[in-house]
Amino acid sequence: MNEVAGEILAILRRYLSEPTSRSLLTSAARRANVRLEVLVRSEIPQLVQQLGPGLNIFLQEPEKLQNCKSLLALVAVENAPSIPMESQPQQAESRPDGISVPIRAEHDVVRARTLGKDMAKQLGFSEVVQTKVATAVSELARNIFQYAGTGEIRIRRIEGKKRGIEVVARDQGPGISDPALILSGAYRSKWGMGAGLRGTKRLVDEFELDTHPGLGTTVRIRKYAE
Amino acid sequence: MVMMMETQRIPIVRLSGKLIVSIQTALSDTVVDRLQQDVAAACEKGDARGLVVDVSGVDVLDSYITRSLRDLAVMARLMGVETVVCGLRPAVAMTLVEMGMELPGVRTALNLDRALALLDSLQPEGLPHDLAGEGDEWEGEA
Ligand SMILES: Nc1ncnc2c1ncn2[C@@H]1O[C@H](COP(=O)(O)OP(=O)(O)OP(=O)(O)O)[C@@H](O)[C@H]1O
Ligand SMILES: [Mg+2]
Repeated sequence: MNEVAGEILAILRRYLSEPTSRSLLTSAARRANVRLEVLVRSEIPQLVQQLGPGLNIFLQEPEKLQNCKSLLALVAVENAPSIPMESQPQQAESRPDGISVPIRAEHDVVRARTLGKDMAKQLGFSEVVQTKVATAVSELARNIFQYAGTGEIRIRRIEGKKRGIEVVARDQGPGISDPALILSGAYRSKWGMGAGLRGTKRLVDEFELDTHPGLGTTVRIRKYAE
Repeated sequence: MVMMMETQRIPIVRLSGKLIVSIQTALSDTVVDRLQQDVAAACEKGDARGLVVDVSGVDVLDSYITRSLRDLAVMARLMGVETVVCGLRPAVAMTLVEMGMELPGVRTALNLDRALALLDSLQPEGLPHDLAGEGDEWEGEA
C-alpha cells in the first residue's frame, strides 16, 4: 500500500477497526480495478465510489457513515474535480469547494460539529485547532437552528501560503438587528449568554459577519494552522 | 442501516454513595437537557454524597453545553450534592478559556480518581455550602 492509499486508509481507520478498514479497502480496490501499491490520485474517485457499499454495511451509525463518506468524497473531489461523485442527497454534499452540511434539525448541529473536527484533523491541524474549529462550527450551526430554523454550513480547506480551514454559515432567517452590540460583549440574550458569536470570533483568525434584518445572516470564519 | 431515533441517555452510575456520570457520546442539546433532568432526579433521592461528571470523552464543548454543565453542577449543589467536573481535555480547556467561557463556581479535577478524592475531602453534610465561592475552589487548570 502506498502513501496515497494510506491516506484513504487513515480516513477509514477513524471510523472502523484496522482489519475491517483494510479488507474494505482491498475489496474496493479490486472492484475499482486499481492497485493499492501504486495508487495514483486520479484513481481515488473510483476507489472511493467502490467503498460506498461496504461502508453502508460496516458503519451502522448514520452520523459516522455520513461523516466518513463526506471526508472520502472530499478527498475524491479534490483529486479529480471533473468526475462527479456518488451523490449523498439528504446529508452532507461534497463539492469542489468543500463539504456542505444542511442544518435543519438539532441533530445536524452535532453532525456539523463532528465533521468540522474530522475535517480539521484530516487536514493535519493540531488537536487544539481542531477543537477550536469544531467549537466555532457548533456555535454557528446552533445559531442557525435556534434563530433561523434552517440554513447551511460549508467547510472547505484554504490552499496557498497559509494552510487553513474556512467555515461559512449561511441562513435566510430573521437576521441580527444589532451585530455590533452583540460582538461588543455588552449583550446578554434571553436564553443564552450571548457568548456564541463573541466566543467564536475569539477562536478564529478571521471573522466576518454579514447580516440583514429580514433577509438572513452569513458568518464566514477562517482558521489557519498554528 | 440502523437508525437510532430515540434520545440517547447518558447513564448515571452509583458508586459508594456517589453519582458518577461519564459522558462518552457526542452531546446534542437534547441529550444534555435529558442529563440535567436525570441528574436532578438522582439527586432528589437524597442518598448521594457527591456527583462526578467525567468529560474526558467529550471532544467539543461549546457555549451551550458548557453552560448546561455549569447549571447542572450548580443545581446539584443546591440540592446538597457537591459536584466535580473532571477529565477536561487540554484542547477543550484551552478553547473554553479563549472563548471566555470558563466554568465559574464549578469544581474541576484532572481525572476521576482525583475527583473522587476531592469529594471525599470536602466537608461532611450538615455544614452550609458555600455558594459564593467562585474560582477559589478550582483544583487546577481548566
Ligand atoms: N443566525 C442568526 N440569525 C438570527 N439571529 C441570530 C443568529 N445568530 C445569532 N443571532 C442573534 O444574536 C444573538 C447572539 O448570538 P450568540 O450566539 O452570540 O449568543 P446566544 O445564541 O444568544 O447565546 P449562546 O450562543 O451563548 O448560547 C442571539 O441571541 C440572536 O438574537
Ligand atoms: Mg448562540
